[in-house]
Amino acid sequence: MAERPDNDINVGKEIKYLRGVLSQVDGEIDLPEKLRGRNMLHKLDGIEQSDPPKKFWTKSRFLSWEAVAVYAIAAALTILVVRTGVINSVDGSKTNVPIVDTPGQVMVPDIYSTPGTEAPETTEPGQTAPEQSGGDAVQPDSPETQGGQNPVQDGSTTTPTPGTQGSGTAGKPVENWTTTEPGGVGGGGEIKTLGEFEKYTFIIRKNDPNDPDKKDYPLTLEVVEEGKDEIYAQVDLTGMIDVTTFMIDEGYITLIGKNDKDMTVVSTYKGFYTQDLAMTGQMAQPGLLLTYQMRNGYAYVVTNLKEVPYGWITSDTNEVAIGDSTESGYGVLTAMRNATGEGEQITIRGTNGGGIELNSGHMVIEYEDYSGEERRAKVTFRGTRLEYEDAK
Amino acid sequence: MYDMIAPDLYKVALYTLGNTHDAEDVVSETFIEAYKGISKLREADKFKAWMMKILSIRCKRKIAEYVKGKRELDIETVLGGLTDPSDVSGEVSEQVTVLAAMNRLSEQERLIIQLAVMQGYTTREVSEILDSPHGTISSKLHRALAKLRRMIDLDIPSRK
Repeated sequence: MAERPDNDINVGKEIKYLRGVLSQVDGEIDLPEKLRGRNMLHKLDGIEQSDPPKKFWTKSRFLSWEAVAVYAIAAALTILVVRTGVINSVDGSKTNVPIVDTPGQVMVPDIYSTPGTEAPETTEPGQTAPEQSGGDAVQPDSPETQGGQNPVQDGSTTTPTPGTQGSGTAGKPVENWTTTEPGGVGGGGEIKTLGEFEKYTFIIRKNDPNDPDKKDYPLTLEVVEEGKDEIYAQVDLTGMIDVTTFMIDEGYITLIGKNDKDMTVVSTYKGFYTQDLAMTGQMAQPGLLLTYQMRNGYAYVVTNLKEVPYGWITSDTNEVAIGDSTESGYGVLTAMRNATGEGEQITIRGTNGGGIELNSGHMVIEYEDYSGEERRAKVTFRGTRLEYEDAK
Repeated sequence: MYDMIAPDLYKVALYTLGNTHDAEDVVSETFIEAYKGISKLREADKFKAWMMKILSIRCKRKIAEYVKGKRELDIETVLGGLTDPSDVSGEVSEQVTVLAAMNRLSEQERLIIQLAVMQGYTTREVSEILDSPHGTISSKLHRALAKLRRMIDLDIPSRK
């Protein structure tokens, strides 16, 4: 007779007990003859084996190495430029830039820097990077912002891109900080130009940690109006130590960045047109920024990661699993209502991010199932309510 | 390799679905699906776990059909033709009681118990096979075992 467990729940004892009782029953279960291998072979007639899985990472890695090479060359040229004080523009003309003798400060945004990915560009003190000084202008009509997607595989990343253009305008992520000289609008210091909208330029400024008025606010958003030598609107940012992306829709500004715990943070601000910016809401999600969209009064942000951090999965983060996906990563989607800051999140297991697209009113997740078929799961947006639907 | 693990696949399916016909179906489907997708198996030593994963997905689909069709399970009949526990005694009686208690668990609970108890997978391995968080599997296994124990104790009060 198998030993019985006592009344206290002891998983080990229960398992031992069940094994003891059921092992005899188990031994009496015979495999039906028709399920034996030799009798199953005829079922394979006409069935083709699928090709090896698409290795998204292969392309990603290739691109990454290519990017590393490109950026290595770019870095070498940058050093050359700084040392010689000459930069060649595209048309072949030469422009003088300040010569810097001191070692430059390299800003490496941690969250977007992983081995084998695009190398961050360097910015030398006193040097205004030509690309940055002009602002990374919003290009809502460019093909890249019309649904260009960005797979994040095996922990590597490339530049995130906006989803299919929503009703709002979204800038491309900007990761590099630029050091400016005192005297300009807002004074000197480290800034990042996120992009432009209408006649306004959106700038993130690093605050002096020794400034008692700014000690709780590492960053400030400044909006500068074209042609005017003053700040149109500004707001100190809480809960963010870096900002890479902005979106704007009907006077609401959404910033995407990260906090001191390496979480991707989404913050929305009202009062753009009244020059009285105030935060309506803020949400954090794990993972690297993949794609984003502002549409019909809501901001949607998708991140991608291999493993969610311990404690992330709760009833509020709504975990669902794509049951038949061969992929093991996670996608996290946040939907936030601009006016109130209320929002909802959904965590989807079974995607490495390669096939996630934000479209009008829904998010599509492409994945491969075990038979090699390409399938599409879907999350429909109903305001901030997110409804997951398995592939048909 | 298939012949080596086919009996285990069949047992898991049988315990989970509770009838031979559907168990045979899902094992057969698993065999075909594995053949088609064998190129996706990256580590040969995980062949069995990979097959279990395919099988569990097939079982889940079958269970979903039960829900729609409100199909009854009949695990006692399937497992050795055992009938009324009062007809037998001793070890056989205990086996029947345990099987009857298992029959009152959900299909998913039976699947977890099969993988963790009879197939010897760790809860972490089960979570990978079932594509479910480790914590979820651990708590479900714990709940299922506790349920089983309560039901068994009610049926066999003298052995408490």
